[in-house]
Amino acid sequence: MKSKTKDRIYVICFLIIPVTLLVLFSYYPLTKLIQLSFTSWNGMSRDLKYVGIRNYQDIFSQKELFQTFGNNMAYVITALIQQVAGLFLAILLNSNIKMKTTFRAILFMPYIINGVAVAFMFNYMYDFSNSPINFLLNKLGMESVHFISNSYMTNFALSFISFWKYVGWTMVIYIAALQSIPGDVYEAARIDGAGFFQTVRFITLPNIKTMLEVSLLLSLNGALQVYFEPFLITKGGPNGRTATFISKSLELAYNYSKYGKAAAMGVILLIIILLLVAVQNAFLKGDK
Amino acid sequence: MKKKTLALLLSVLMTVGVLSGCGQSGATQETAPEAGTAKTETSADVAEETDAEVAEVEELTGSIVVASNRTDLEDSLAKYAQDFMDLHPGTTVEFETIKEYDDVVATRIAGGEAPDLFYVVDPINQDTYQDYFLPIDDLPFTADDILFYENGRGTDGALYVLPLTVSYCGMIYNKVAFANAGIDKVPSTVDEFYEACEKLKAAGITPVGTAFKDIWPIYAWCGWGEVTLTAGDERGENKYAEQDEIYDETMLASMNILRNCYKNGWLEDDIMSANWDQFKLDLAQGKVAMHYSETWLPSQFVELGANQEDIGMFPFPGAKNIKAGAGKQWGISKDTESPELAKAFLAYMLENPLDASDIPSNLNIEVNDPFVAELLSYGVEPLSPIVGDAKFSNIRNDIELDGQNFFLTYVMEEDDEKAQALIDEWNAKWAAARKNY
Repeated sequence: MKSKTKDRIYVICFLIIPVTLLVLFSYYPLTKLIQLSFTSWNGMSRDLKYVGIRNYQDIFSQKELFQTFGNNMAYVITALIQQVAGLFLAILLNSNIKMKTTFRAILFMPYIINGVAVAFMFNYMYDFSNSPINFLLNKLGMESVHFISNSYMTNFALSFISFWKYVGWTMVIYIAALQSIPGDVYEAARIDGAGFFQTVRFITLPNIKTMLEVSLLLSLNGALQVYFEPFLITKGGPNGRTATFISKSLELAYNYSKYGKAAAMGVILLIIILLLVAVQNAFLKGDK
Repeated sequence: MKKKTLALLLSVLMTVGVLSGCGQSGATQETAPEAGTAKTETSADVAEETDAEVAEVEELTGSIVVASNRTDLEDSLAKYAQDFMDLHPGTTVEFETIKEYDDVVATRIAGGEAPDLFYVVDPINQDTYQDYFLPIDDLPFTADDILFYENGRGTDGALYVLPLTVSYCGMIYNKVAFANAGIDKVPSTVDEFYEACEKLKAAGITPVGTAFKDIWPIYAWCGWGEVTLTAGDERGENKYAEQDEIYDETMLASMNILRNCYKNGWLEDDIMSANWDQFKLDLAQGKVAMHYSETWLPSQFVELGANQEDIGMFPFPGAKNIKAGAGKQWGISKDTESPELAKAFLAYMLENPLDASDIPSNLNIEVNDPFVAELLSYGVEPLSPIVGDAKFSNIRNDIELDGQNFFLTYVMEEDDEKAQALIDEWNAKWAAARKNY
């Protein structure tokens, strides 16, 4: 009995800080967001005017807002490629290569760099007349490339930035997963005469399946919520060709002072992501 | 066992720490509403204080924070404030320079922490001046002293904001670039302008700089005040809320000039990567010849190393008027604790320009800006827009039209029919929405 109360005190003590932080910085803003989505708040006035579900009606009547998910698709595709690349790097750097910690550190570095600095750097890389990439291409006798242009490819140019930034992160997740696979399994396979691709297919992949799913979900989630690159580099232009769902909602809030409607978009995105998680969970359960 | 007790002790201590933190924040939260409910009391206090100040004959006290967007002037602004404080001992005036001014100030206002002195940011307009600003009708100025004085009134008729500076709209050009291309006379019609562009292009100079990537630098081509006044609208009044087309002939005429330039390759090589900083350097160095903007800009080219006599301004080709516009509209926060000091400092700012390159709105200060002098020497009369009512911006926000962003889309749309379709779409939205206002 006594030890039970003691345990309880322990649990409460350890939980109180994370739970307080979670409530304060996650759930409180979330309820505020939901509240704002039913108002016509302009971002400045101190009293809120409730407008019912008008914001939601507005959003669902504007199909161009949902067309931005088309631009998000470029990020989704890049996120998938990022998984493959991350896994490849992880397998490579989990083997006995020289200086593998150095390589790991180098690959992880972009993740630590401040996002604004990254955007600024790529801003320069993607500049038409001053880009070092175009300079190199010209030296090699090739034409300069319009990285930021009127075409859909601009979305891939932008999503490459997140690829560059997050591939190291994906790699670290996979390295952690790989290290949890006991070495003797590989040894046994080698004795049985399994080659590299066979070990990857029959040992590595099945063993890190849960991690694969988690990482995939995180990246897809990130791809749907992306706003940094278009917001800082193209401002969603030209003609909304690089606008994402979130960058569009930021535009609504900051350019047109429609904070209520922007909040409603946030809520809709939240629901979409929850659905995505539910679908993934359903698949997982089916497997087990 | 010992370890366990130690751990227990530690965790209890930690919890106590956290809880005490909660207690403190709880306490401040409690005091906040108290302060709110006791509002009448505090305002009475303020009234008493101000009475006392009046009794002591302009003995200013208190402290104010002035929010400026001029991060480049940080040091000289501090000195400027110091000069004022030397004149009025016992006061504290602090300039705070903010880079993302509009966002930061708007957020602060929403949080009830507006700076004491700030200028109008979105979404404040005449309708809502009284919600954010203190009336300043009692400042010692009249419409005879300050340009655009009457434009600072709210819908309720009281004066809330005044501009410190004015600017004139015109074409900024690099004289060396013009000379290199063999142009000896500034273009005064659109055709002459196109000819000049051709000559400049042939000489390997970018005729017109846009800095289109940053979008806002092209505001003069598509702002209603700039466009309608330049096209010869005598009243200078924003009539768009009364008509069905937001993009009428006048507006399109201006936008099409730039569109033609784009089609002919007279803008930067890749306008999607033409950024403001690079553009400024290029114009200062004569790699770019022209840019349509206002008189606040040319001194920046001189700062970047251009000779002052190499940079000039001329009226927009074919302009009937030069648009004169108010700079940022400054007002005093409704919630300031030192209203008298804030008023005194606003008056001081109106009498003493913050920066030597500013063109003051105060008519009693002599202007000897060489760029303004050249711009006005071509014989085109300056005219100022009568400030439009809030309807215009309200409708625009309602239909979610960002004029500058759309302008970029319009310029880059190579197919004329598609471009026209985009125009028609916005006009239809405008026509539908304006009925509600």
